[in-house]
Amino acid sequence: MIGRKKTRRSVTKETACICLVLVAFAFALQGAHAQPPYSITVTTDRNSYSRGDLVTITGTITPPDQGVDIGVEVRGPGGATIWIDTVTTDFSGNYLSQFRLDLSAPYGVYTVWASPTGSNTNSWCEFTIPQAAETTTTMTISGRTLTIIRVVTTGVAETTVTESAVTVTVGTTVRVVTGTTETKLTKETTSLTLTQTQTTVSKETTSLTLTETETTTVQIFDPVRLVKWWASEPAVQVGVPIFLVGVVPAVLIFAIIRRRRKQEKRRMEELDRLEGKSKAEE
Amino acid sequence: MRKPQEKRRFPSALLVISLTLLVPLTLSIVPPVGAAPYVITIVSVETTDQAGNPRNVFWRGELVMIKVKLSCPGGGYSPVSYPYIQFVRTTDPDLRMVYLGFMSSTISSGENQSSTTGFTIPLTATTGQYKVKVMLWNTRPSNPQFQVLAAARQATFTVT
Repeated sequence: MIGRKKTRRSVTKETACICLVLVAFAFALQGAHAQPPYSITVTTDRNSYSRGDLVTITGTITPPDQGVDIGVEVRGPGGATIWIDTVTTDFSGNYLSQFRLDLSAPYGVYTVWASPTGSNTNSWCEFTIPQAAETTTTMTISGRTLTIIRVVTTGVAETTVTESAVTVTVGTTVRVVTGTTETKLTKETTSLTLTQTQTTVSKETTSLTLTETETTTVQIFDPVRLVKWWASEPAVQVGVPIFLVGVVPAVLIFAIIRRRRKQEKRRMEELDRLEGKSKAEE
Repeated sequence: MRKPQEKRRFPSALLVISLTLLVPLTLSIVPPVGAAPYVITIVSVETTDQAGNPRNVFWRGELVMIKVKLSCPGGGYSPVSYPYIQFVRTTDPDLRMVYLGFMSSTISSGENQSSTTGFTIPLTATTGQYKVKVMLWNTRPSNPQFQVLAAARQATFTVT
């Protein structure tokens, strides 16, 4: 009986131990799954956008972990939510969320918030929709001359006029001065506030997408404008009347006098010839 | 001679009972590796017409209703309540957000909930495939206490 009691006790102890181990294992697993305190970064592919642009939000969590849910929220200048998303990190801890800005999105500063689930942390960044960035321009390059083939302006503020009032409308062909080209048309030169991603322009480049604010001098290539400008020049305004009133009559008088002299000379020669002939007959 | 044998079986029975209780307990506590421990499940997201009939093709100018069904596992004697914010986001084929609806509510473990929201497709809307994404959060990401309460679920419909 004593032996049996001992055996039963030892088995009960073993069972209790196994139970304890299982409970410990359960808690250990639970503890192992608990998420580490992630830190997070958030950034956008550009600092400024135009309405209708695609915004790409990216970031990373540290330490890198796969399958972690990230909440992304974008708030507009007035605090209104314009985008929300739940994305999941890849094996490197990276995440991505993309959306397109509305064509009527308000100008101003936008805030992007990102937070990994259950990590007691978050991060934010900002981007802007500046009013000046609304000019969307496509440029083509022919030799050394940049030609803006289409200028789309959505408001008055986008076009900065320095001298004469030149309105650039959709479809207007303008030429950008890239040195000494087309220097005669300075009167018609105006300034357009353009946005440009690419500062170095090579011959191989066929199109440019403008993003950063940059003032570029452009010239309107219009023969009518050229004539108008020519007529409005002070030198032309003074020179043409002097030319018409002074030089032209003088030249005409000179031509008439010269023509009369020539006629007189011919008449004299004819008379001499006739005189010589009559003398010979006598 | 039988009594001691029955008594000897008692520890084995205790072990079996322990295992029977602990294994499901362990599996319920520990979610699969890589998955977030969601407390709510988005059972279904479907688009319907005004009468509640499931539909995936709409004309511009029509009203799209989005029906969301939620489920909170668990329950028992001490149900836990979870306050949540439900976001219903709709994007057009160009990734432009055309509708964002949100509601705050609370769900208890063992409870099922259903909600319907809707919007009119603008007459100038782009045609193509639209995506509806439903997300459940406890707060917004600007709050560090942010937590995703359910795996996001998507549905699609076509605008012709």
